[in-house]
Amino acid sequence: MKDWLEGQLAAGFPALAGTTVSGTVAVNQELLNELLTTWLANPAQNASGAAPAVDMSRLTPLIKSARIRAEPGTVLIDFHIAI
Amino acid sequence: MRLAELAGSHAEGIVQIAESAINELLARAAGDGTSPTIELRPRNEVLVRYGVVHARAELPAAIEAGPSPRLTLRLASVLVAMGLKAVVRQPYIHIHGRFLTIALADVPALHPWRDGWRHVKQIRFATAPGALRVGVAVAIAPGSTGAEESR
Repeated sequence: MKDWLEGQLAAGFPALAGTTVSGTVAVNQELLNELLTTWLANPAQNASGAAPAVDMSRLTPLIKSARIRAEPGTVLIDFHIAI
Repeated sequence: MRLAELAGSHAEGIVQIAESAINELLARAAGDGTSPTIELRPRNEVLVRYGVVHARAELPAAIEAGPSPRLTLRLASVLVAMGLKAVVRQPYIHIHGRFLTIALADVPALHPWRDGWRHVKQIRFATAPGALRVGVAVAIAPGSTGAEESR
């Protein structure tokens, strides 16, 4: 499954051509602060630039629009993805 | 990270899966060249080929969402249903009459997403030429405790 997904990711997800998804990711400030604390607590790991599990540059072309807005205590990311 | 920490998030869309991809995944899951293959037909009909056995089934237009969703297929033949009942041993598959029900939350291959089912609000199916269209709506409600989710 993992190598199938990696192959699809490299080719731009041809198996899912025609897929469209829209939505909003809501991230509250507690989670953001927790992530920030974790990031600051591991300076060596952060400096080494450890490769993420997913190469985000391959996903970027699939994102047709994105917008960030904020409400009290929450950051909201609106997105639209199309394959 | 717990999904509950993303309360207020939601997404809706159509995931279109190519028939060839479904068959490739079925083959990979079997791993020994004995997997069934499917052919998607109009009006949510699915033809399953497994060796010399061909079985027609009808996908539901929608399934009831929730923490333990069940996908129920209507088999075209009672005889095929009876034959399947005699050989199917997977505890997450139940056959009653000509209906075959799969308890999705209990399918081992789907266990990594088990905790996410309760956030799925709608699942709809529609066959299209060469592809299966799955309409999905997901929403993480404010106030989700996420107590059963793991970091």
